[in-house]
Amino acid sequence: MKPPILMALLAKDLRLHGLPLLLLIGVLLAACAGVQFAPRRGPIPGFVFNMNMLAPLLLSEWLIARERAKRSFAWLRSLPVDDRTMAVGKFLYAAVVSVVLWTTSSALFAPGLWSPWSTGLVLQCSLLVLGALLIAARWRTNWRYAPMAAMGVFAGPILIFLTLMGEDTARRAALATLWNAPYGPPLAAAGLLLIYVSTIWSTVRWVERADTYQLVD
Amino acid sequence: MNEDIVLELVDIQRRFPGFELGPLSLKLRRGRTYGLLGPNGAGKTTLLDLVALQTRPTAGVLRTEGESLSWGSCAWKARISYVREVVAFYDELTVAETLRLASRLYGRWDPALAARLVDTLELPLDRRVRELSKGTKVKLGIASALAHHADLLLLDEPTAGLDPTARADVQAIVRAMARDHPGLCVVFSSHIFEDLEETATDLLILRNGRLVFEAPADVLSTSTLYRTDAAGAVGPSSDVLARWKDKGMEWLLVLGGSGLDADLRQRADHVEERPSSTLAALYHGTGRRRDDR
Repeated sequence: MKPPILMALLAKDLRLHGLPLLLLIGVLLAACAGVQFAPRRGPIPGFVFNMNMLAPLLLSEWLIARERAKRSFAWLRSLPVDDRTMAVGKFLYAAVVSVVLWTTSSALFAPGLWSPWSTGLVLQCSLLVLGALLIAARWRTNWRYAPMAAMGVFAGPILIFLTLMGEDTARRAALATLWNAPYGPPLAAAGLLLIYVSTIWSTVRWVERADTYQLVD
Repeated sequence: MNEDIVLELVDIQRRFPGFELGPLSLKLRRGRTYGLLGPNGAGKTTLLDLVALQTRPTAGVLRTEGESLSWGSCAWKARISYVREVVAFYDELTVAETLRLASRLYGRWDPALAARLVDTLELPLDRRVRELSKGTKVKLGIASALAHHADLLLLDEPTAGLDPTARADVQAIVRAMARDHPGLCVVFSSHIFEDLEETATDLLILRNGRLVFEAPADVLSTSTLYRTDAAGAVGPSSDVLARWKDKGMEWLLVLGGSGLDADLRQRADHVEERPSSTLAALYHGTGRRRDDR
């Protein structure tokens, strides 16, 4: 992987998507502020989290679906750009946007998520996994419901977790103990990061082996 | 190792469900412009994709400078340029930004040459790619190819969908490019005879995934076409460039000035034909039943 090439690709993505992205972040932050200062204040942390789920969904659509539909991946692939750099560049771009958006929005409007800091970190790792799953799904297929399937893969374990936590059982107590243990949140974050890295690794491997026609619509 | 050869395809093959290209062997040489002719679905784009490492071969190897090319080789991609039929640059970028991006990705980009090419090809630097006609996009592809001193330029149907003036423009550019860059090898795919008659030094005809004809264009232009009722009267010979059957007759394309050519001129059972385009006659002929050469 060549850093100058990676920088050139990131600069290109910033040039292509920078303005709409800034607008999206601006609108979402404004929406957060609107909820924050509304007379009947809603649950801000939940809103911030949902908003940050929406952003990677839209961003992954922009990053991959656009290049698939306009066949610009085909041009990029005919240039001396190795597939690993091209693929990692997309994940890196999405990760940076996710981190910036999450840090800004949660620090401004839901600081409680960072106290203790581990909750914010685990949620950030969850968002990274969501973004990566969406990119991986969109890259591998032009099926229109692919992002929804990725969301399902992401949401399934969370729903199971919430269901278990909702029950007043010994399992809930065990989960709460696990979460509250000093190693609980770091373990959760590490598990999520493992899923994140595996998603990137498997996608990069797939892109490296794919024929160009598989990368475009 | 022959330094004249840019790329050698050895028994290259690619299978898709319902279509198979090859096995096909070919040597692409510096300073030559190869006209790749074939009907839709013959495998022209697949062949170019294989050469540009866009499609992985099922079998066979690609060799350059005595070494086999590995899949995804950036060193190879840095030596070639591929302008597809649907030219897909980034619509939102201007011509200047597109060239700047290409300059950051190609190791041996020549900014002075790029500036000269922009001037020569009259590229509008401040226009967005989405505002360009297909002809101008092809010119942009050619500019980026030459500015990084490509050894091999692949043009996949660059004139498809262009009006006659724009087509003549592209033909002139390809001719000028071949003249001004003697080390460059060009593969120009088309199904328009005139494109290839105007530009090609060598002709390749693909049909159903098979290379059915390969010869220098000047050999074709000096060849003679005969038709005869006496099918099989001429046996296999290296002087027969192509042979096919049509309308109950046998047609022979014979090397001009060869012994066989002189012999057939004397024979009453073989009639010399003078088609308006020998290439067109050959192309249609290769679509008929073909016997040995």
